[in-house]
Amino acid sequence: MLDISNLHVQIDGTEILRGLNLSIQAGEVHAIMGPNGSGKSTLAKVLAGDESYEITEGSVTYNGKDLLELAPEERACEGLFLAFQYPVEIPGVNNTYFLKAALNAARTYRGEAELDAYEFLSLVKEKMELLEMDKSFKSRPVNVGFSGGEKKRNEILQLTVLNPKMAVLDETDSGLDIDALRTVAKGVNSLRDADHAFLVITHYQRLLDYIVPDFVHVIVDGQIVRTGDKSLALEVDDKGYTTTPPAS
Amino acid sequence: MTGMQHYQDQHTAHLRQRASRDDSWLMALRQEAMDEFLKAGFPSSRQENWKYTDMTRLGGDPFQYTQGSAVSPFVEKLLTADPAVNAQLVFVDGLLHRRILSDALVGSGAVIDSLDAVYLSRRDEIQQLLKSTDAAGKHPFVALNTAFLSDGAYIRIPRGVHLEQPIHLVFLSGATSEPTVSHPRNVFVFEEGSSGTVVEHYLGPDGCAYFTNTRTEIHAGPGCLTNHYIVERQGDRGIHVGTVDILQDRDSTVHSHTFWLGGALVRNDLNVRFQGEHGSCRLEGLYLLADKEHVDNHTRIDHDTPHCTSSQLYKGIMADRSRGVFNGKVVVAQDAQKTDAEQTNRNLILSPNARIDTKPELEIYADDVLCSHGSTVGQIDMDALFFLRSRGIPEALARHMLTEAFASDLVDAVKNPELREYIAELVQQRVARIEHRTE
Repeated sequence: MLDISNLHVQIDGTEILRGLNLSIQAGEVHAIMGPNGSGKSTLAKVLAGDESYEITEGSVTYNGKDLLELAPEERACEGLFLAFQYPVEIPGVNNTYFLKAALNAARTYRGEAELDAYEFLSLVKEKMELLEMDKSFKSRPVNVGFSGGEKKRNEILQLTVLNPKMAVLDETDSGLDIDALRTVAKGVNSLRDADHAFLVITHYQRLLDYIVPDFVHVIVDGQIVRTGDKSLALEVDDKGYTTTPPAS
Repeated sequence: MTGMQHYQDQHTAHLRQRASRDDSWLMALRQEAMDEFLKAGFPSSRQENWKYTDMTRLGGDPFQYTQGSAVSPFVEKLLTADPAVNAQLVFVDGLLHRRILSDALVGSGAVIDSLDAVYLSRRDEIQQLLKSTDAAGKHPFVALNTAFLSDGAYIRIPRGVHLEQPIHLVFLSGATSEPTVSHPRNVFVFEEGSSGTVVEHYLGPDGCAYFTNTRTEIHAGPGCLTNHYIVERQGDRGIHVGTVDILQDRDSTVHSHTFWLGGALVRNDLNVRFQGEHGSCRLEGLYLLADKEHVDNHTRIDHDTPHCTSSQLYKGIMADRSRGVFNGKVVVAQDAQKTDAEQTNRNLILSPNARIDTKPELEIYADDVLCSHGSTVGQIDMDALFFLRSRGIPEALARHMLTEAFASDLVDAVKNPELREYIAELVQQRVARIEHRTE
């Protein structure tokens, strides 16, 4: 589904990703762990199409398409989703209006009919109940005045409503208490099946107790240095990244 | 200035036409105003108050003053197609075209009429009202308006009467293909403890050169609540000059909302004067410009009395090669202790060729006051834009959403739901027409 090959990325002349390779198949959950500044969030933003990063080498293929050639909105409509580490506040844009515009943009892109108001609101209601979100979220402006946890929950609401094929979660667990973490994981797990793939970026093993990965990768200095199963996350959590031996 | 001779000739013709029906005080008022205008002329950018908006070009444009023009089928269509068609008073090129009052409005005791119809029937009152505010003018366009004084809206809401439904006034310009000028004159009186909403709509067809020089005087009586709206969407060659004076008595509350959504050249002066204690006003304005449009907003609040509160929020959106001006002045007199005055001007620039000049002015002569002002100029938030695009929303739509969002608090502040929906639709249509250019 997603093939990242020898990816080199710079920002303001500093190389952040230095030949990163990663391959994700449909139905898989991959976790990426790594210290601050190792390039985890850069990878997430590059995949979503953030134009402030410069790609100097390498390729990213998504469902047979050259992902790097696609505009951010095209990537989204092709089924790629990034749950932001720091979701943006957008005063004046109503959360429901925003969700509807996003969902219908993707449906139009895929040649599907737009949902009518009733179908759309039923879908949102169902997902909000799953995520235990207060009804007031519907009419509030996107993320404005939301707590850190509420913003993350709102990201997962967008994830479940848009139902992407490939979701990248960038430190979705940061700033969440244990109850919120469980709820967020419930939302993510509700989408898990043979068609969906996930790339979960995190500092902590804790999230992976709830969203159990098939593969765990350790990223250091812009490269994946180790890959293992979920036990690698426990090892990293126990011993830290510094003791991780370089890839042979 | 050859144009001045043109205005003088038209004025002479106007006086000749009015002489048989008007009282001598009214004739004299027009003549004095014309003398004043001829002395002042059209203001140039050398004058401080007109620094960003030179009006001398008006002297060269031979706009015709009409005393009743035939309404073309095109204009009739424009009128019937507009949701504001249910207006109580419709004026075409400054003269009353039709008046429709519901039984409920008639029963309320409110007077809603054409000014021309009440010069005689309410002679003393009108004479006093026109003279009391005109002296405050000292504005060449107010002088010009008074010189050509003929028609406009007269509204009086009696003591203690609360009008729920807004009163809509439509001023349609450019009814003929000739370049015409009109000078609507509006007088609204809110008696003690009354409340009501008046909406002035200004519109005209595209492709037609015309000049609307409108003047509104609002007398906000003790303890009244006045909601005043201006929805301006002149045609793409229309010139609009509007001067609003609001006189606030004790304990009165005034909410002013203006929406500038069209016209080649627009200048609006909004002046508030507190004449009694514990008055409060909230002034909000949205100017949304594209192409080469130019909108100049001047506000002036005179705190003459203690314990009054004023707050202002003006927001501008400038696209293409448009130019906006916001000049907000607050003057606090020596006696006006405990004044609370706040002013905010925020601007969104959508093109490198667009321009905004923002100039707050505070003149404070009292020592126990709370006064603040702030202005910002910014562009579309790139993080928000990326966020929306990353959710699948096409870039053009995402930019429109963010532009509309910038204006949303001013639209949401419209209290009447039908009016809010109507204005929201107009704002949306205009935002949708804007092309975002980043290079």
